[in-house]
Amino acid sequence: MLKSGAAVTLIKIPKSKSLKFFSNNRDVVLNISQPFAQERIAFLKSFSKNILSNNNAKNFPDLVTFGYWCRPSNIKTLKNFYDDIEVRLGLGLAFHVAPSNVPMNFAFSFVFSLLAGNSNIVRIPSKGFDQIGIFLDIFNETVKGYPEIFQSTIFINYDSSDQYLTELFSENADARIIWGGDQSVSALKRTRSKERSVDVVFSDRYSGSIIDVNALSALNDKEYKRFIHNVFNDIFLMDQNACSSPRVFFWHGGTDKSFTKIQQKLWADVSEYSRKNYSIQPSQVISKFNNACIHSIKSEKLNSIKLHNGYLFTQNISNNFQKLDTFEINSGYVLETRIKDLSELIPYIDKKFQTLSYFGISKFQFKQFIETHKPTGVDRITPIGSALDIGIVWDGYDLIRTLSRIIQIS
Amino acid sequence: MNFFSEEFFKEPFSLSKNDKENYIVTSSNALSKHHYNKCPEYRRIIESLFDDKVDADDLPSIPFIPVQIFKNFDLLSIKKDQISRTMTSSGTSGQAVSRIFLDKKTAFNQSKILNKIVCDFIGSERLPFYVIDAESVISDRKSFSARGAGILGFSRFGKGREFILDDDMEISIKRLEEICLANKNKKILFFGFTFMIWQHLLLPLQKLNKKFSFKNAVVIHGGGWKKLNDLEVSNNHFKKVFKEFLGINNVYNYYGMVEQTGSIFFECEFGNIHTSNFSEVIIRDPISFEELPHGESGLIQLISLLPESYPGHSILSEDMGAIVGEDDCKCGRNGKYFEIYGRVKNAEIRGCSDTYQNT
Repeated sequence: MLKSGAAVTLIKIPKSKSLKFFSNNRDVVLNISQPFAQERIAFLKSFSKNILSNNNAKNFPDLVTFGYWCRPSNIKTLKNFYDDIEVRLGLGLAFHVAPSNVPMNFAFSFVFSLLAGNSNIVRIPSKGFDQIGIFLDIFNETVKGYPEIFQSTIFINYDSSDQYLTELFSENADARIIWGGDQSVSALKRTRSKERSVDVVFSDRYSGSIIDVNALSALNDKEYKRFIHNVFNDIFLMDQNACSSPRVFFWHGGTDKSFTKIQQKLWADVSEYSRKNYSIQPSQVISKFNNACIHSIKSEKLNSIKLHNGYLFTQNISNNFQKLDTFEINSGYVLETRIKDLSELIPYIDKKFQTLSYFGISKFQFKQFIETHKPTGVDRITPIGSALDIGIVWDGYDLIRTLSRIIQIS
Repeated sequence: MNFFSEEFFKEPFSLSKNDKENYIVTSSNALSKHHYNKCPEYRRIIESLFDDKVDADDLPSIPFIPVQIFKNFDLLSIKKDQISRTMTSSGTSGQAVSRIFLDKKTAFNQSKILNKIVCDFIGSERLPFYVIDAESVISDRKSFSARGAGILGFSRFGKGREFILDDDMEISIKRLEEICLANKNKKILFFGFTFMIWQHLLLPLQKLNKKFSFKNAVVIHGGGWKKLNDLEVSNNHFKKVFKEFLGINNVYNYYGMVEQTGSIFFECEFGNIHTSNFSEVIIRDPISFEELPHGESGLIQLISLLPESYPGHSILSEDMGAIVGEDDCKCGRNGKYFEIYGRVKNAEIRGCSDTYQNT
């Protein structure tokens, strides 16, 4: 294997009032490697160990999930998926702009790019999430033993009005990984970057789920309980406000009778499960109620909306088709409609549709559906319960390949 | 024909429990039906969220709409050319404001009922009237902010009207001294908004340590405690400062919103906030919206029998409160009386759709 690239100081970061460093490194050194380089895997191994053995970290499921993700066994599985890493190198410097209200996405954004072989400047969320503090403490401790990663990584935050910092990072970056709403993404895209730099954009998306009525009705008690837990996780873990949180549920197949029975049971059970497992604030319910009123007023035909004790609102959207992004959805508000055939998904699956999580439908059916209908949207089809699992292939990007370049030797 | 009964007009706090519930449910049902037929947006909400049912069997089943919705839509139960006045809530700059549309009849009823309620507390004699605000608040006569509408509404209880703050919201101590001298021990009426009074009258007086004796003056104030709660100024402290620095004992707070002008809730001598024959409150669990028993804290649903030109007769507010008692306040007024604990806190929700702008 090639040795990691030579160290060159890339950017001296100027002082700024709002600029805060969260890593001990101040200036970024360029450090390029092959994807899945030994040192980086070794670092992640220690990092993972230190996270999973940290007492404070245990209280944060998202941090623990991240810790598990970095384990050598997982990284090895991922590495085996790539057969062309010998002739690949990281693009260079990656500049990450993480979402401000999701605690752990910045961490995944960083490790994907680290594994692809890049140096990283990561702008972390400005909101003081406790798990970010714990992450940074563990990172700063662990990275002491890995000087090359230490020199080539900084975690910072600064005010978006410090445009010159964004410009400085953009001018020097070979890749920008931009998370955010459509408006903020386009603001960043207007900031000039290197001619050949790559923008990886995670902008506003939405997602949905599909459930086969017969398959759900056939579950035994234990399986059904597991299913409720999975549906709950997909909807509520990120306050139903992540791109991959389902906002619409498609009910596939079944008779009128079997559908009504299982549908009523499911929502009653999910709302009861969330009553026990989700701490909802009055303002969230008030805002859902107001959104429900807005949705009613805007729809041309009658839509019944049920409040299920406040935890879960469900709205039937079968009576008139509306684009899914015209609804204001979060904190437990589900749109639903029945379909007889997968082809009826087509009007809903537009460019903004990201994840379709499923239950009771086979991979083969989806493959056929994709081949036949060639939908313009949907980047990810995954079992219900895993909608929020972040992966190295995300939003249609293979991040290892996107954040590295191939060197052709002939 | 009105949706409230003229027979309860003379004594605005006469109705006791059973009669009142019947009367409120019947009158409110009639109003719901009226808005259902006249306001398509209201109808949609009833169809989708209340099983298309406007006829309530009891108080808790009276349908309600969120107070926020008046910021999202112009809701009218009259034709546009019947609008005689538009009122807006006082949102901070940049925020959406509520827009409430009045026709002549609703505006008339609002001032009539306001008059009845206020006179029950301060008497029907017209008093020299001093507004603790700047005159510029009412400069636009076509469109009223909640502050402007309040000032105009209460002006009818006064003889004349003087604004005692200048356009920079500064109080003139000299003018205050003159007023004090001119009205020696006479009953006069001060009116203003709770926060404005604190910020521009009570704070400066405390700073200057300047004291007055307006022995027989009456103060009426409203507008909410949100900002004063943030400053940790309680109603009791507010009253104490009034007594200490202006010598005023009779300080009445009222609770109302621009969405239900007129049928306001007044605080009596014993510190209880009263519903009248024209209004009702229902306390609901802030998550399930189920009705809560007396004494328990929840969201306040407000019912007023006055709104005809817009569907605002039953509104779910964003304020938390609890019913303290019914028909048994020491002040002798019938009906429910309640406490207000303030606005629900905004929850920060997670999600991946804002990175750049708000950081």
